[in-house]
Amino acid sequence: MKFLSIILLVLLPAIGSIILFGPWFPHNEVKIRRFAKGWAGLVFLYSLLFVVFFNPAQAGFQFEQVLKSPGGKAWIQPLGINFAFSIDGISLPLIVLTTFLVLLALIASKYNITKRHKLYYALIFVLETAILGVFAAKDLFVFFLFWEIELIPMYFLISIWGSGRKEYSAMKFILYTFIGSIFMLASILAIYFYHYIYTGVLTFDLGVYTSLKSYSYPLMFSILTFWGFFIAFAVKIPVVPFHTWLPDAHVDAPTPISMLLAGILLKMGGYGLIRMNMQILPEAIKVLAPILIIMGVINIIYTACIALVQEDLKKLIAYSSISHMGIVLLGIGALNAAGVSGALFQMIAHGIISAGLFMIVGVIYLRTHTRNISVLGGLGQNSPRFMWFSLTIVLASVGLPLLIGFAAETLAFYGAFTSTVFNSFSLFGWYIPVSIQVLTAIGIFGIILTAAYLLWMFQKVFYGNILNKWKSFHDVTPHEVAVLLSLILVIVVFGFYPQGLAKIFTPTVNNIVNII
Amino acid sequence: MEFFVKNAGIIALLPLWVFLIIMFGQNLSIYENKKFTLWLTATSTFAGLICSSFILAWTMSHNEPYIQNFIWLEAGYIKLSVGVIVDNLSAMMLMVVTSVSLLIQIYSHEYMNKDEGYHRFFAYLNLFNFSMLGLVLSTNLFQTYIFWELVGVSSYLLIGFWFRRPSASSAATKAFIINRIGDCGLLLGILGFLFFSIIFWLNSSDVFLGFSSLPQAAKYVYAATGSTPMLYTIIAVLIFLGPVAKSAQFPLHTWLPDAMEGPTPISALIHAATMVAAGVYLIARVYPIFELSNDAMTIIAWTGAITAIMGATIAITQQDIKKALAYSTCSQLGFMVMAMGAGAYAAGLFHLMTHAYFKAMLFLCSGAVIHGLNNQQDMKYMGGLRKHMPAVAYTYLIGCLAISGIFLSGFWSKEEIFSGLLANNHIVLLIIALIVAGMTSFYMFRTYFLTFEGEYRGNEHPHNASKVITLPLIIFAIPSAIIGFILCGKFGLPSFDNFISPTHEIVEHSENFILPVISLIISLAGFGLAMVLYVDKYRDKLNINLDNFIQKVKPAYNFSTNLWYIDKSYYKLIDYMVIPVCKLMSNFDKYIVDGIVNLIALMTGFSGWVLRLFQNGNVQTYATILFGGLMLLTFVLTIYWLL
Repeated sequence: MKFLSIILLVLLPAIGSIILFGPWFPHNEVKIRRFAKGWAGLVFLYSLLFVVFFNPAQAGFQFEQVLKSPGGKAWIQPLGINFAFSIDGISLPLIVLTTFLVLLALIASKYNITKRHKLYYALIFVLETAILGVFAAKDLFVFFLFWEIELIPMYFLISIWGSGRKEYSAMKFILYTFIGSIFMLASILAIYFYHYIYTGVLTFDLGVYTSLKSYSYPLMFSILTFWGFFIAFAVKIPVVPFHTWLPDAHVDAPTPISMLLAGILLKMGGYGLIRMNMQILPEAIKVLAPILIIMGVINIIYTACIALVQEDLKKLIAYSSISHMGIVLLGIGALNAAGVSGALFQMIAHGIISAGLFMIVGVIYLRTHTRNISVLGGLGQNSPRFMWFSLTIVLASVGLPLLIGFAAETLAFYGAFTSTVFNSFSLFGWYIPVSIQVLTAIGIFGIILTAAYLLWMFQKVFYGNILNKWKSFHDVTPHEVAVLLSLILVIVVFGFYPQGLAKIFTPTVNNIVNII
Repeated sequence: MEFFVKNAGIIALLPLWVFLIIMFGQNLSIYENKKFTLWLTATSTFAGLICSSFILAWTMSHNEPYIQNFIWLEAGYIKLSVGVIVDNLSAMMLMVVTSVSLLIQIYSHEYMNKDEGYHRFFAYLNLFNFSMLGLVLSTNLFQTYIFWELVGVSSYLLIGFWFRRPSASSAATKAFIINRIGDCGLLLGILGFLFFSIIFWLNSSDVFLGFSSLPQAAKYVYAATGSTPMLYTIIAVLIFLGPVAKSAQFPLHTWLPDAMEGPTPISALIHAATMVAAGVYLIARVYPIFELSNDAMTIIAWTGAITAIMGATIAITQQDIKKALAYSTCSQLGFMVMAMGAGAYAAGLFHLMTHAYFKAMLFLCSGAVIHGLNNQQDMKYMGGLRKHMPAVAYTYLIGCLAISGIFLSGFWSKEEIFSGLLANNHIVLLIIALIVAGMTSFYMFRTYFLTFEGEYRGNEHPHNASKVITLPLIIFAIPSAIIGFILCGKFGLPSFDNFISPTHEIVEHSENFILPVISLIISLAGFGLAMVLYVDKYRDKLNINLDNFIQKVKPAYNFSTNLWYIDKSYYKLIDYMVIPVCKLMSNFDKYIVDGIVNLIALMTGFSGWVLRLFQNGNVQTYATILFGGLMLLTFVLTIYWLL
């Protein structure tokens, strides 16, 4: 399969960005949009090819590709840095999710973006390359590089096309993530030099670190490294109390950017947690998993309670997003196959569902220019189709069976419930009688809160008699139908047949869990 | 016959296809014809009914259940499956669900004909049928949970069918959230059960949580939790929380009366005959789990008893005909749950079946009345309707006789519950049950007399229901009247008990006739009291003033009309506890958590500002700082030297 080049996949959006941004491309809004959609579609189709030729039975990295100079040298050979990419069962679904959601976000941009089109679409493609780079990197340095590159387009996308306190939110987002990633850099360097001391080889190769090593880290060292990674990822997921950038960023970002932010960017945190903290530092995570579980439960309940009293539609969805990411944390903390599979499944499910929810808010905002729930009402009367779509997505978020969220939640909760991480848990030598079952039960209690805030919101926005001022609210346009219907299609297909998604990552997850 | 059994899954899948056809057909504006929707729906249900009959016939001659499974999700060692089980219990439920559904669909065609959401209504109806039949055919507890939530969402959609009414939309939301509480408990119970029995399932050839191995699994869990029987009881009670919410048992019953905001055919189908009975069905399915714990059984029995008496006391004072029927449903479900908890397994299911028919019919009658009076539901404005709609009145009367246990089918199923309670030595429960039976008879005939007898008190022009509406009523009247007798197992007739519980010990019928006679006398007393109080003729003759009577029992009356203050305390709890706490957390997040973040940013900015003052490139400033510092130092040193 010579035509499947992972480097090409990562760089393809960047190439599109250059074509689009160059002076040779006409300043015609329609042409720019058509090209952007076409190019994103191309990237999506190309990423689907990887799914077709992916061997799900094989656990390790596949499609590995390293960029070498004509002389056969690595990228920065003296430091052991390779421009290396690869895909395994964990990153493949996330990569396809990325290309899929970028395509949908571009379609959704039609009505939301009204100025500087060239720059906008070029930046989105840069963002796509950065995210794909993070998911596909097989080199810690490259991973970190793309992790940082992703911030730049995001900053501009929020601060130029946003609304409200957009500069504040964009700055908050970039500073928060940046400070977090400093700790990650320290951790990367720590394991890099540790490896050098023990083997005399300088390498950033992820494959080396994730496989069984000939040496083992001292516990204190691995715990400190763990926290370094964790802070960077905790900001991204986000984990309470590092979450306050997210509601601000969402409220001020334009709709397509919110979709990408919630749909893909948060997943980088979860992905990093599995890839780095779990695969590289199994000793540390075995000790610290209980803390992950506790944090996950806090995430679920605390933000769900806050979502219950939000008046701003977008803030409500943003908090709900944090709450759902808590399930990812809970699943990862369980450290068993069911839990980690549930976490991965939830990442995909949440990517699709939250993108859909933000799209719904965007559609409402476009027509009413308000996001205040208390002034909305009765929208379902004028727009029955929009109500169907919204209801399906809202119910998927509530975790209804036969929609995508259910399988994820069930697996994650089951994993956490049967987890054994608390068996040897002691803090400062004190045995703490916390029962994982009770903690999970508290987490499951979150499904009631989720149903409550989402359905109350739905009732207030769509049900009842339509208010006079919204009489001109019209039903979804073809562009919006395209976005919402594709999301719903994925929601229903994987809801009915979750095994189709699960079998891609199950061997890899089993492999990871067995190492722990 | 084998063919129908092997393809039993089709019965559930047909409505799903019809649902999709209607949804796509309507949203893409492919067809407009209402008859097409009706024929599609009714044909699929009728096909289901035919298949169910063959399946029922098959189960008569086969003792072993037929089971078919597909893997749905696999992760690590956990395997979750969906499939189809055909045994006596599911065959019985299939018959009840498809037959009630079919009649209600025909009825709905007329009832909803003028409504703009006709197609949407039938689409939801099919979605409900799919979920309900899937629930009935579930092979394992996990699949049950899937469809358990799906029937919940169909019910949510149908309660909120007229979503432009604020009351309907809040009733729908309320129903969903309260059911979610039950679902949450059920999920926890399932997880807990699975947690203790995981080794059993890994060694078993059955699918995870399969019903056919549930008795062994329950014993395994009981042994695993042997040192703490409390733990086993907690698991059982958590599972029971599911039926508590779905079957509207105390204290999670408050959604059911509100659910009457939905169209009346829905109240008949979902909120009387099938979905609310699913709770009882689930109890029957997981009976092996409950059986092992005496405490759990006691809790179940008493929950049922409290619900039965609560529903009856509230139903007595309801003015809205549908609300009265709703509380009556609550009460009757309490009867079934009580029977299950008291060990009268077959009697509970028998009552489920008879109740499905006569309660569906009663609701449909009330629907015909409401339809005929232009959506008037208040019994204050009814009366004397027997002259205007005789068919409805007589079928309603049959329903009243059946539910009151006066000779018709309700008599036989209730009598079995009574004798079951007696056989298991639950004397207190038996007394409660008898009292509730008397009250049932009283409030049912109260609604009958208020609606159909005396003089008409409203301003509408009541008109008779059309044939499409009366035909299902008349068909329903047949099973309502005779099914109890046919399956009572006496006088050489077939026995429902032997059919439904081949593995369980057969409840011995006490051949003495004292208990049936007592129950009959109590029911007749209720009937007599209702007649004396609510028929003008007799009331005048005996000089009874109803208002004076109510004044005398004012506290009790208020307690009943205020629905035992349960709803009100829930709203108070939400308004004064949940919302303020959440507001507090929201403010905490906004001002404290985010405040710290902004404070750190502010401090960084401030220290930068302060430091910047020292580096402005101005020689005078540098000189001032230099000399100022020197002077300060000299001053300090001088002081130090002086001291």
